[in-house]
Amino acid sequence: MSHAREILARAFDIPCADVPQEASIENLAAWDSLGHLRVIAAIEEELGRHLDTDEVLTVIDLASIEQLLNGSRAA
Amino acid sequence: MTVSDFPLRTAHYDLRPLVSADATPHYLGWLNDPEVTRYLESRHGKNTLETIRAYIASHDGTSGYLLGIFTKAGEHVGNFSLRIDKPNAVGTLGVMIGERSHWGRQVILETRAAVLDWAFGRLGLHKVCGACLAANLPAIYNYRRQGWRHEGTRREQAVDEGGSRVDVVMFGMLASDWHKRRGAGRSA
Repeated sequence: MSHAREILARAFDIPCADVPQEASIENLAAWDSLGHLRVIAAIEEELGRHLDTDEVLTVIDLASIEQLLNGSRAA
Repeated sequence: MTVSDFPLRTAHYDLRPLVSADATPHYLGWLNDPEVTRYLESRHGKNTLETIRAYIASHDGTSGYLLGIFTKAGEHVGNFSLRIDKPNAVGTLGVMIGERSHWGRQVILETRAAVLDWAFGRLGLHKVCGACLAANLPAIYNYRRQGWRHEGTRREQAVDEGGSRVDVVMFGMLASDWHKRRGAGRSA
């Protein structure tokens, strides 16, 4: 189970199994504006820093969160 | 635009052009609430009923429209401002939900879809633009959720309520993209 999926599940208070691999801001019904704030906060907590504007704009689906977490870890 | 265009109706709200009588203490209360104006241009000035009336009058129903968002019970909860560049058929759309009890209820997604339908359909606009401060995460969420394209970021373009320079994020929606989206059955 990817950490990005856990972040989404916690943010929207749903089981990890309900977060499909193709989950996105447009197709996951539970992905609302308040949940989005929790997603950004969780990513920032994970990375230990604030996201810059360009990074915030990339957060639109599960894959983009995985990329953000992995990219930052690899840097 | 004709009077018969209005109200624009959604499942939970009706939208119509504001008139001078809509400049009420209720509306003024929003503009004096720092939480409401935190990300709005109105955070910079002092607002009165007179400035609200002038703002309403500055939307002439040709090159600018100020549409109030009302509940089905008639409660005024927010506004859209649409300024139109006629030669280029491009609109610039701003929004404020002043009534805090309606925050987090997807009001913008629901009502902006109706405004875009009208702007692209009845007004024949080619494109509608929007923008928000980079720290306004709910606004960014709404643009992304509704399929708006990020068209760039103006670095340190604005000053926030604390006096710090902040980025402004630009979004755009083409009529063709919106029609495709609607054709695919998306409601907002």
